[in-house]
Amino acid sequence: MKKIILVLLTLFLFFLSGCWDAKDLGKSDIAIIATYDLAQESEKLKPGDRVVVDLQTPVMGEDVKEKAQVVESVGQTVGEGRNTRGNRSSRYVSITAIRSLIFGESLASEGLGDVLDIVYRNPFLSYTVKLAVVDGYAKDLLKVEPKSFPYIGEEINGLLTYISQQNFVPQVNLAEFHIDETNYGRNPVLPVIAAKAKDKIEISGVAIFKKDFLVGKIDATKMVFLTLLRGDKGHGVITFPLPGEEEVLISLQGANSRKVKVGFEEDRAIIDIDIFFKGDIIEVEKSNILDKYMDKFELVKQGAKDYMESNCLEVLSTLQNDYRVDALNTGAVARARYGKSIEHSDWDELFSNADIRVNAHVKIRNHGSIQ
Amino acid sequence: MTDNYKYRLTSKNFAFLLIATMQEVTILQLPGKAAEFAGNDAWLSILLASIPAFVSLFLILKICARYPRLSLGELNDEVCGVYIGKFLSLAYILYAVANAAVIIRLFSEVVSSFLLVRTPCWILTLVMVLTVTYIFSRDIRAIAWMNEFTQYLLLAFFLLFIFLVSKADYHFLLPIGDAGVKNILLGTQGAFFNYISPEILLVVYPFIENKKEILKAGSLAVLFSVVTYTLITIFVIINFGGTLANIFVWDFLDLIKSYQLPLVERSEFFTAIFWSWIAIRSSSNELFMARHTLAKAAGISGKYLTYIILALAGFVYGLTLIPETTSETQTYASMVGFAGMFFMLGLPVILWAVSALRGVRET
Repeated sequence: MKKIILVLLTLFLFFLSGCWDAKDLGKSDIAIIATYDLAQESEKLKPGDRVVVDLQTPVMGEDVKEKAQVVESVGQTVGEGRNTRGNRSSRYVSITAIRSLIFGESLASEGLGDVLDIVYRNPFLSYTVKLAVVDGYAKDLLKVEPKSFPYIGEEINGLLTYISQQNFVPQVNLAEFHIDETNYGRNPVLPVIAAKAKDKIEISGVAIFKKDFLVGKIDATKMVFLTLLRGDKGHGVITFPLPGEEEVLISLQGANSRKVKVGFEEDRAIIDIDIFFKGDIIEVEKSNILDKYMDKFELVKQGAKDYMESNCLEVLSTLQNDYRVDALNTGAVARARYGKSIEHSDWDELFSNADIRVNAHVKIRNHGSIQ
Repeated sequence: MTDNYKYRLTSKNFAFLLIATMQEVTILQLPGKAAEFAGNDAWLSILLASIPAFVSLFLILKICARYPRLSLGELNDEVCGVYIGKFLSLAYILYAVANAAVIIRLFSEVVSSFLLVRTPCWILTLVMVLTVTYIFSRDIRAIAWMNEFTQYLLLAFFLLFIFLVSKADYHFLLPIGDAGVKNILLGTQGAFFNYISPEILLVVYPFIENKKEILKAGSLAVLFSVVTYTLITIFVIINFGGTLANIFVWDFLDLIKSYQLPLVERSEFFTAIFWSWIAIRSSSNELFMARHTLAKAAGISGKYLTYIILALAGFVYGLTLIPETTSETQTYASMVGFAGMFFMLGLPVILWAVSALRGVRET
């Protein structure tokens, strides 16, 4: 009996030596980025086609004409579009290495829920892929030819991966979007990418969503304050004038966090947002403006506090009056305090009519090598 | 290969055996199932659902203390008479084999979803059944040691929890008890099945050396599972919230999928591979229980054990091929879960009651 088992086990090793459905990497196209747009009339293959998906795949080899190619699919749904991708690509297209999903503005306005369903269901796509919205058509972004990177997909992936380490911009992955669009009192935001020139891209602001629907944008000058209000972890620079000496600009580099309290007075929500900023002075426009005296230091703190609070109030005004949506996820705090009974109320409406108080707390750790 | 009692188990061996049998593939779904009713309070349901396991341990010890040298196959005959006894033993064997089949099939579904999409299910289950057959053909001591050894390795898994807090939001846990008593209790029904296993004590009791330590060892084993399940549920809830947790099929894998861990890219794949040990040892233990009960109930001697093992292996493999879809497998898992509840709570009560009424003592 033992001999039979040994023989069977030995034979069984052949099963472990390879797999018949393996895909040779050299014969596959490995997509690194995907863009999603509403189909334009000229792109539709049949009436009812709605979504265009473009995958950028690097082309391997030394003698290739282009370093990357775009494989496009069109269909009523993303899933249906895969058939057209099969018709247009001579090689197997792998999506497991995709690092970013980019959405066109018009598609995002109609809601991303349907488009993302296939992504959520796909176990091979990581939940850590980064998401962004594009000013205009997402597929146009793939036409940008960067000078420092072999193809734009690589630059976008890098930009979205390190975005929050260099500025106060919300860095959002697939899981975070899913969490915010599903749970009560939360709404997702996404960074907005724009083509600045034929060879350059930049983050041009933040897209505001009401669940999965794009409802507005905050421009690049204000996105810092939206990030501070949301409490998304960021690391960047805030430049502000010294109180009483407006010509003196001071730059603080640091990181942020926040605390939120929600209460009710009669039927009106009262929201207190405490922003904590801890950083170093990295630049003072006029030399020797900082001396050893603490009062100047206190003045810098006050300047930073005033600057943050006033700008945050402007962002709040936009959210409460223009978009009427809680992009700060303060509803999650309300849900935690008042329980599921609050779910009968439309939190976005409560937020829009709320009395919101912002209090910034600034801590300066260092001022560099000179006074 | 023998089923006599010359191989002895320590109470520690029993504790590891119980942990390994209890913890299987459905842990990956546990938070979502409890969250279906209890929402963000799913972790409270997980805690409450453990009570029957402690009760079961107590009840089984009561009945086994009366018949310290009898395993389930003999115990049923002794207490209920030959016909009903054999029927109960057969029912337990069918349950244990079906449970092993469900575990193997569910793990194959995980592998099909996350790792080997194109590999036919029958190959995945065949590989599992062959591995499991080798393990459950060994004696109880070897199986217990395998369970203990793998448990130490699996402890490293707890390191994962350190990384799963960086994006967590504790607001999801508040206010505690908000789902209401009714929903929290309803949430326990999804979690009860994950605590089924104390019934293995009915089978392995004669093997255990120091019987006075069984209650303590068993309780610690159940407590270990309670802590593990509760931690898993809390981590899923503080990351996803109860609403989203309920959407996923394999919540815990999806949680790991949402983190990029240092050094390990796509850590969910490694977790799925890691989980193979959990599935293998749990199904091996169940099949050993079936094998031993069959041998004792049918009075089959050691030299025919090979045939019992091969028959059980073939049977379990056949059962793994019955479900056509994941949801069908889940339905079978629920049916097996209800059967498990009977053997965990109902059978000890029946045996104890009949034994008390008839005044039967071990002969």
